[in-house]
Amino acid sequence: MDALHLLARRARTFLRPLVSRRRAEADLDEEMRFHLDAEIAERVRRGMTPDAARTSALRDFGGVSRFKEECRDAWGTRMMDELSRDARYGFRALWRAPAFTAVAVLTIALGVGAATTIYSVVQSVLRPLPFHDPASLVAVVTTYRGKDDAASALDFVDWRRESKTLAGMAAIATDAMTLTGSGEPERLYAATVSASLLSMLRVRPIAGRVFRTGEDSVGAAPVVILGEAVWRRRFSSDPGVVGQSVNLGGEPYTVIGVVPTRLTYPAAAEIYVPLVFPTGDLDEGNRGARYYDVVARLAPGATIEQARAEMRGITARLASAHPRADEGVSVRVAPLLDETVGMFRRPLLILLGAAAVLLLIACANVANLLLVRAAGRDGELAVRTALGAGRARLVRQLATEALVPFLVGGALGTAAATLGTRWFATAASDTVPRLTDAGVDGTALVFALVATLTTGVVFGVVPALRFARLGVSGTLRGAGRSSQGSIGRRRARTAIVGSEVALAVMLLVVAGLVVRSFQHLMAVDPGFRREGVVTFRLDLPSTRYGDAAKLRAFTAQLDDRVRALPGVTASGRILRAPLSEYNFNVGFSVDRWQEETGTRRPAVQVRIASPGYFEAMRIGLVRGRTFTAHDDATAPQVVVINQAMARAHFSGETPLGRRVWLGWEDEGVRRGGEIIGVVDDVRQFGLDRPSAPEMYLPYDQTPVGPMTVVARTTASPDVVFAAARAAVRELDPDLPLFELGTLQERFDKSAARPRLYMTLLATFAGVAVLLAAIGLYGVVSYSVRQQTREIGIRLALGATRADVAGAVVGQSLTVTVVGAALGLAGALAVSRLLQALLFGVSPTDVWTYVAVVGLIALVGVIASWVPARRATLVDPAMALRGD
Amino acid sequence: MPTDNTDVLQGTLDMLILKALSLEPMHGWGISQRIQQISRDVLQINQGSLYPALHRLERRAWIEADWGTSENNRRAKYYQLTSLGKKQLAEERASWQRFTLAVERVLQTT
Repeated sequence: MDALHLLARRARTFLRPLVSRRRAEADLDEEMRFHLDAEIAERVRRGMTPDAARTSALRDFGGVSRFKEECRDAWGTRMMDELSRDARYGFRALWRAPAFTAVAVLTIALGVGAATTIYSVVQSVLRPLPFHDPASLVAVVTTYRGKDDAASALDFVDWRRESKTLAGMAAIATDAMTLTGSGEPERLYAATVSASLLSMLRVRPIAGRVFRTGEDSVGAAPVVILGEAVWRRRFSSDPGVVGQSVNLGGEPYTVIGVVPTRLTYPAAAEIYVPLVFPTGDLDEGNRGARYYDVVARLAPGATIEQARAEMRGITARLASAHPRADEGVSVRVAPLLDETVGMFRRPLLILLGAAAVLLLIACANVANLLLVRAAGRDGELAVRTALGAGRARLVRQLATEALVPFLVGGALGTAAATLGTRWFATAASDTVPRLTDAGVDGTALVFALVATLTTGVVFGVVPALRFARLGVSGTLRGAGRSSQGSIGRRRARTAIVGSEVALAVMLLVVAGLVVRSFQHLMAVDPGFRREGVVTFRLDLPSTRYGDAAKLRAFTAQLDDRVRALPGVTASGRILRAPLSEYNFNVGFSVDRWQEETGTRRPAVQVRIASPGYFEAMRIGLVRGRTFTAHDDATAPQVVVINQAMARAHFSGETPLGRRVWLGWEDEGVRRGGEIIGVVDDVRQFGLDRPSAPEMYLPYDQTPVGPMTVVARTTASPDVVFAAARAAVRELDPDLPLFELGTLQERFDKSAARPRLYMTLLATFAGVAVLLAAIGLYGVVSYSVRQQTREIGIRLALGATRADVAGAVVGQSLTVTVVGAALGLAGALAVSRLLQALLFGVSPTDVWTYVAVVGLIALVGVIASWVPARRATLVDPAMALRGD
Repeated sequence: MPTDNTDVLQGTLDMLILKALSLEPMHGWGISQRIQQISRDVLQINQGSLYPALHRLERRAWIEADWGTSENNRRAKYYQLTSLGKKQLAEERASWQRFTLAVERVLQTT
């Protein structure tokens, strides 16, 4: 017989009795009946009377039902029968106590749901990148004096030429391009990438092809690859678009392919165009101009350590060959995944830890409830033991019953987690990357199952068995008031509640610190008044606005139109608005431009502002003046600086009247000029990032294509936007407005991530405290009920009601204080890990810890209030007569 | 009831069943008859206890069962030895011989 046949046969032998019980029973009946009939016939043949033959044959066969039962044992169905009976019994027991069941099941569902949701999110964010062999993808990051910086075109070209350990090295810059023709002009996020990028990532196009070598060299025909979303939206998913020409920023590009949106790298890219280095970038004088991100794949057989060593060596050689540009510059090679989502790892793992703690508290609460119930069943168990139930049988029943609420709760929680994950993905889509297809997948299901079973065994089965009193003696004799089992149980319950308090305190401290951080963040003065200001962006394409005169002519008209928009009281333009994380870092020198400096010159963030900007934003003027309409192309060059620059470079002296010059030449004119004013610092990079030294240039002296319009208005934003669109369309029908919004939204978005973390952690902590309070209440009120007699005696012996109430509250407070002390110690131990989530608050912030202790003590008092009142109402006479 | 019968230990019963089946496929009653005949009624087993043993052996895939028709045209469950069962029988027989040999030696030396 071949192996497969054998296997099938064995499976049938095994499964048949399980699948078709009735059939197996019938077969067994028939088999035994055949035996008896044959035996009787044989005995009759040997001369016995039929009656005698039947009697003796039955006697010699033995107990039919006993042997049938043994056959069933052999099938292995008996255990299944009992399990399902126990489970049914468990369900029925749950059904009979709906309040208990609802609390237990919902508590478990809450814990499992929260943990599974966060697990799914973590899983989705930190999963490998969606490319072939993602582990071999690395980011090559330039560092300057230990801080991350972008790479320059020349460094990149040299790296790519010399590196042996990295393959397909590609540079990336992000840009925005305006798509015109066929409908409204639309602003698209473009990834400008080396031709090697997509083939190095092994991206498989939906239609057409990816870039070929050489398509990123100077003079190559302009080509574009569409992202799937744009392709569907603007080209109605027509594969025929490949080969056609589209208009981007006023120039024709040939579409060569369509790639899936799922790429999510580089983040948010909607279209891809080849990165052709502007000629200036490759002049040796511009080795210090750093704008590019660089990625690569480890060459076959190369390790990341080898790549690190090699790249450091190459960069060190470049630094010594070009000290003026590359002095202090080094390089860091890191897994691409870490570079993309590394900053989310710590906060997400903290959230996961918090969710796990919440799950523990939830389970502890249910364990507590089960112990109370178990106390009520000692009698029942004793009766069953006396009636002959086997110990193993009872153990199995107790275990199954304890597991049932965990399993039901776990299933409910997992279902809730699918909703929770969707909610999170929607709520956090702007703040956390890679959530678009987050869901409860296979690994998350395994996580939920393991979490449910583990907690079920640890918190359900183990206590159920540990404290079950599987003996006849004692209980049945009725002496079991303070017997061994119930003392053990009470101790266990106290310990469990103490641990709950400790865990809740840990969560409270974490949440408290994060809430205080958020308060600090919200209290940050961003340097401008955000209420009632709308903003939108424009980008004048160089194809139609190629020279300064055209830019000035357009913006003059634009300013008039914006002033006339509904409700506008002040308006201006800026490159770029605060909180935009826009980095325009340029080296400068004071008084006169020095071509040669031994070290890298100090750098400053450059902003280009129209005269109305400071007033529209209400940015405070510290001294001097801001720009006026007279600071135009014909007037002497002037600049305004912020206080951070005044402090950093003009400490103790007035900067007014001094001249600063930038490493930025335009048509033979060096940018910079006389400092005419100092303004307040503005948070450019985020509320939590200090202001960098900053220099404003007047727009008319340095006109550029991209700009953000800001307008302070009393009208509603939508009205203003509609009017603005119409006004701009009249000036230039092919010019799209984009990133329309209010400063308030910008401000909120800047705080969205800490707000999300805070909301979740505070919710977890709140639920944890609630659960701990319920646990405390349960333990205290149960012990009051148990001690009714003792309380009655004390009252009879002259204790006052206040004494009795005090004793009850004191008992609760003792548990609370011990738990809180442990929790504080735990919080102190883990607080160091929280640094990533904190702003302006030390992880050991005394006030937070004090507030948490106060809060938990209050919870301890409140939770024992009702039981304490009940204790004072004990009637001594009744209690003593009680039994 | 005969008094000189021998209690058949469970493991021994398994071996006897396998041995009985090594000749030809048989139904349960046939197996009990065969064991009694060959042992000349010395080994008197409780006939019913045969069935848990048979079901246990089937579970271990040492024997397998099929429904067939008996000599008197009734539906009967026939058991037969599998290759696994043959191997098992050989092993049990060997260890049985080792056991009896050892006991024999002990009895002779004392």
